[in-house]
Amino acid sequence: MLNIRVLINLGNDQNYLVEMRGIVKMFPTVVALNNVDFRVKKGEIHALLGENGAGKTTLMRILYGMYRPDEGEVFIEGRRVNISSPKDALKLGIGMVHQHFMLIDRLTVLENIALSLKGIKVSFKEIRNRIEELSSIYGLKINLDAKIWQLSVGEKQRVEILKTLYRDVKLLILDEPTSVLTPIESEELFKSLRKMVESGKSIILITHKIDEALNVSDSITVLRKGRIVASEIKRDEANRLDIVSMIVDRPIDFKPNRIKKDVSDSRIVMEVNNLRVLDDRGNIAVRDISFVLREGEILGIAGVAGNGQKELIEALTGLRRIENGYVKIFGIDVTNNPVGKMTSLGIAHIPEDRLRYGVALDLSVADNIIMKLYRKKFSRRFFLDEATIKKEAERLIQDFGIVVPSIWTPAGFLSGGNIQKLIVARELSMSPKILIASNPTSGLDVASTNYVHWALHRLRASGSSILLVSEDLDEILSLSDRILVMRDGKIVKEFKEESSINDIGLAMTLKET
Amino acid sequence: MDIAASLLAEAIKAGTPLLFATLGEVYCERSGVINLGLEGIMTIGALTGFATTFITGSIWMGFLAAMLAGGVFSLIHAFASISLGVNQTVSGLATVMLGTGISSLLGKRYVGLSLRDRLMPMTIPFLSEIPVLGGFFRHDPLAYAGIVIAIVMWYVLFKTRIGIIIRAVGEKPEAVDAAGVNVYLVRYICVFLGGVLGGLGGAYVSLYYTPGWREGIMMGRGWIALALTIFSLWNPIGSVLGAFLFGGVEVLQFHLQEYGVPASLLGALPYVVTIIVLTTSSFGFMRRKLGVPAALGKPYRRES
Ligand SMILES: Nc1ncnc2c1ncn2[C@@H]1O[C@H](COP(=O)(O)OP(=O)(O)OP(=O)(O)O)[C@@H](O)[C@H]1O
Ligand SMILES: [Mg+2]
Repeated sequence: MLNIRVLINLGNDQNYLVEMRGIVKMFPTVVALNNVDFRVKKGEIHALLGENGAGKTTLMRILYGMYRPDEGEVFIEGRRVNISSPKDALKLGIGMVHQHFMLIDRLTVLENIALSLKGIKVSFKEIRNRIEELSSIYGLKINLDAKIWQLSVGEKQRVEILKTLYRDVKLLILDEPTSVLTPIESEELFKSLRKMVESGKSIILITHKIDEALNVSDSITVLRKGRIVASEIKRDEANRLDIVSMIVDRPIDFKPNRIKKDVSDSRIVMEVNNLRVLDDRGNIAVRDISFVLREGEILGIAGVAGNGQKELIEALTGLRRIENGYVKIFGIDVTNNPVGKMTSLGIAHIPEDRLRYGVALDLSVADNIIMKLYRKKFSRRFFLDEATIKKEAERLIQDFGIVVPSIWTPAGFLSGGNIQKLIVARELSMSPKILIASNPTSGLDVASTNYVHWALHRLRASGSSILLVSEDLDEILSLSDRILVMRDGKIVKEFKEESSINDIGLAMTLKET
Repeated sequence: MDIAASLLAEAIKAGTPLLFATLGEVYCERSGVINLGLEGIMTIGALTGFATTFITGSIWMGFLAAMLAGGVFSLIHAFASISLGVNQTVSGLATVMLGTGISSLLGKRYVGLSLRDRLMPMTIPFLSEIPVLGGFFRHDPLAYAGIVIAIVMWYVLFKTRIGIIIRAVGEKPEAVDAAGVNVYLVRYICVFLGGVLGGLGGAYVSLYYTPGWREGIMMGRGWIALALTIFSLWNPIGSVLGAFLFGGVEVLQFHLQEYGVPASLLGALPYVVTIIVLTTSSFGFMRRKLGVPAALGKPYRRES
């Protein structure tokens, strides 16, 4: 049964930690939030759902004082407040972990935490003790003296959470914490969150993973296109289908067929031989790996994050030095070739670190789309061909359902998921012969994920090959024809036939049998 | 007194104004603001220091006034580049022209005058007699102060929360903002501090190193300090080494002329080093090692 509660002004209920009323936020050319009411109880995990560009991040940034609403009021514990900067928010006991982390790479964990504290006089020893105490209470292990750039995404997130815990917040906002985590890491995160709620804190959790919301949250609010669709749905009153239909307004009709293609006779398009690659710290991350990618197959690489997948992909795409071994593409040796060469050979790349390698945030959506092919496709003699650019940009926006104010908007103004869609759209539009994709659907809503899966299948059907790295085991399982499991920089197992999540999960964590 | 020791002493003396200016610029750039206006700020400091000492008869009043003037004058650059988000190169160059212009206009009446009050070297007994190294121990109080200030600034920058904030603002201002710290305030303070130290460096020249006021008195020291900031890899201790090294170059330049060595060649050394550092730091991995502040020269705006 569809359970939609319309909120009427109920007066200030003491049970609510946060009440946002009639929030309106306009950006040039878009209404990001249109008369939104949002409430969170004390001591609950509240999931905020909605498709890409629905306004989730914007609503939370208002609560955290990063944006000023054009209209509306905010109440904390029944008291009307004016939050005009993150400083105000922190004073009121509101902390936020951002979709894109707010950490300084070159500083240590300890320094990053000290940065966010009040007052000028601090004793590092005291901070150290307190953090160690907090880590053990909430189960957030971390090496305080490591530099941020040396950490994995999951560890960075722990630092962000510790930062807010140290400030003793009453409310913790987490913007898509799990889209960058492995299932195991997510589980650990939820355990920590549970402990926080038990100690009386409230948590707002933004996520695109509906099952996750159903499993961990006490209540759910859904946003669509800047409006509330349903608020405070109790966990036991919610069911998956209803929630999905509240979130999306386009059909989810693609079911990936699980029929595996046998391509063992097809041509080899990419040959990786004895590849050795180092990580940022100079340790060996990829240990003499060999494999082949054949024409017309989707080859999945599964593994717990941090087992060399990132370094492998960067090496294959020309972003990282190969120490030993070689890579051949269509028989041509491309070891340590520049990225541009790879592109001209018809290789597309959906990078893991989308803000670093995927987009130029200051450039417009259109510029980002033509970035890789401007010479071939979008030029007339010396000049860029505006008409073609416009047509192509608009086509991609339509096909992928990218929410953009206009194609001339700087990419930095797009919502997190829409930036990801932009990258995926561009790479697929190149009709690559080989696509190397890292977590292609990370941060995408259900409908967009579904569309991208369909697009990947279509690309394979056209004879191209795809190397797919993903932390989402379901994704790997449902899309790949063949699966390699990476562990500790090596390929420990290959699955050719139909296999189960459990088998793969086991291979990811256990030693070779 | 042996020649080496006296050369060393001279090098330190010549390097001290560079040291003050460089230290200030290190903090300024660590917070993400390039202040190309250093030459103008130092000139303002030189004139203010000279005029104040001339009028009050106290050299310490002169130094104090110079620091204040340098700080206040640098706020023009701070306002343009931090509050208005103007291109920092443009604003910095404007500061140079404004500073040197105003000083030569207002300074006309002081040209050729001399001072009664003087800074006295404090020669440290025994230590100053050590061969060569003795050159370290026969200086005016400010030269000693420069070294102490450098050590303090190093400690603050790398060992305290204030330093963390300053470095963080120069690396990723949005993260500092999100942590509830006022990015603009931090940058204003650093630019002001840079101005104060620049003014002090300028006054050291006009009150002690080459006492007197004349147009062009800085002879490009502001530009050398900018180069030294990079040379020192944005580190106060590195600044001490750099400043004294180039103080030495300045002294040698003077002495070697007698032997027909082209002085301009040595004079170009700081700039050559700057180019090398800048080129190496354009490689991503070197950038992280060298310490180039990631947000250097980028104005910070909080979205809406
Ligand atoms: N600074 C900005 N300037 C202009 N438009 C903006 C800005 N920030 C957000 N928007 C627009 O507001 C809308 C809502 O964005 P928001 O980031 O809140 O979405 P979201 O629900 O968090 O999506 P996602 O799931 O993709 O992260 C989008 O259309 C986005 O383009
Ligand atoms: Mg978002």
